[in-house]
Amino acid sequence: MTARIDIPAFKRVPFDDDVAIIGENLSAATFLMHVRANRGDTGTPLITLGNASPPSQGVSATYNPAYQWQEDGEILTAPASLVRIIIAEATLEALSLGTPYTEPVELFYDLHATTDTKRVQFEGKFPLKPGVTI
Amino acid sequence: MTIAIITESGVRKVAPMVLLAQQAAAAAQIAAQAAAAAAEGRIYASYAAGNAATTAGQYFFVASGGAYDLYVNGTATPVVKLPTLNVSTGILEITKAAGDFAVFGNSADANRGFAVNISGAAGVGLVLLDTTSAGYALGFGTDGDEKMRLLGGSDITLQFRNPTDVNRGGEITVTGSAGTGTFAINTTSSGYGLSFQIDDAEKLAIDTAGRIVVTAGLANYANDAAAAAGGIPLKALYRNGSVVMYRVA
Repeated sequence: MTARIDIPAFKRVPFDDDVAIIGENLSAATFLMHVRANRGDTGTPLITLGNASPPSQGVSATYNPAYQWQEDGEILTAPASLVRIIIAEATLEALSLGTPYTEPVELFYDLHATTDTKRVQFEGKFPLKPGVTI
Repeated sequence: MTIAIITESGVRKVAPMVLLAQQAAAAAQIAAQAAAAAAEGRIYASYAAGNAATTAGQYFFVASGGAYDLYVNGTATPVVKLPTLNVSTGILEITKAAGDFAVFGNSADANRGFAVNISGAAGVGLVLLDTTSAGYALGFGTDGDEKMRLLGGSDITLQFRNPTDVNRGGEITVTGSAGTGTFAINTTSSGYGLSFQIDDAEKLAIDTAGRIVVTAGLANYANDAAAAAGGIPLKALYRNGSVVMYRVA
């Protein structure tokens, strides 16, 4: 089942975070990610991200055969892919705030990853926070 | 920054806890290494506790019955067994569970100066040689020469030795617990007897034939009254001509 991950972003700063996916090697995958105002919209996306190597805007993945994380107080080790999403500050600045502007704009996204098959790796809300410092 | 981890069992929203966990794991590893290093050389209540706290090859002490034993990790037999060591106000006292082993000055007992192997709490300050053979003695000397010797064995024999003349010395021997006190001269030459002196002047001698010689001679008085007037004390010897007299009045 596709994982649900909400990715909050701030309007005034770049977005640069990653998601670890245990057990998969997506280092050679083709990525495509759209950000839209609503699920199901078919027009031009608010944001379009494809494969790009950091620090460029886009999506990239690295494979770690011995990725470690903590779960229930125990340190676990397993192969994992780190999917990194980078959205430039200018891209986020170009998005419009909602009404009232003091509240985050609730947008939506999902990430396609194509290896031998095309799948939605994860999806969810993309809350755009207005921020304070400009 | 990792904001989530997707596993077979679902999504783990762990950021920034993942980073913190990794930091915590590294910190824990560093702390464990530091603890292992600090564990060596410490004193533990039991071998099990010390062995658990240390790693292979590390040494630790175990306090037991007032004594301290040195162990190496992984070996249940102590490497070294030490007696109890107390140091107080500059006085060194080494004790064993069955009595004092060695005491050098004891502020708690004025009768103790240098003592070895004392039994009981009210012992007299003395030096004892713990020996199972009468052939072994305790010697005292100065300037590299032995001057006095306490022999072992069942008799109490104290010898005084003259390093410049092996024919001169003396010996005090007490046989058993109710024996007669004997003062003897041990000489290899018939020419040496026993000389009693005051300020390096011989006053009395016993020659090798057992004859008593009053070196200064006995004073000559006709009777006790005359001897008293002449300064002879009561119970002292004097002569009347060739007759030996004993002043009784």
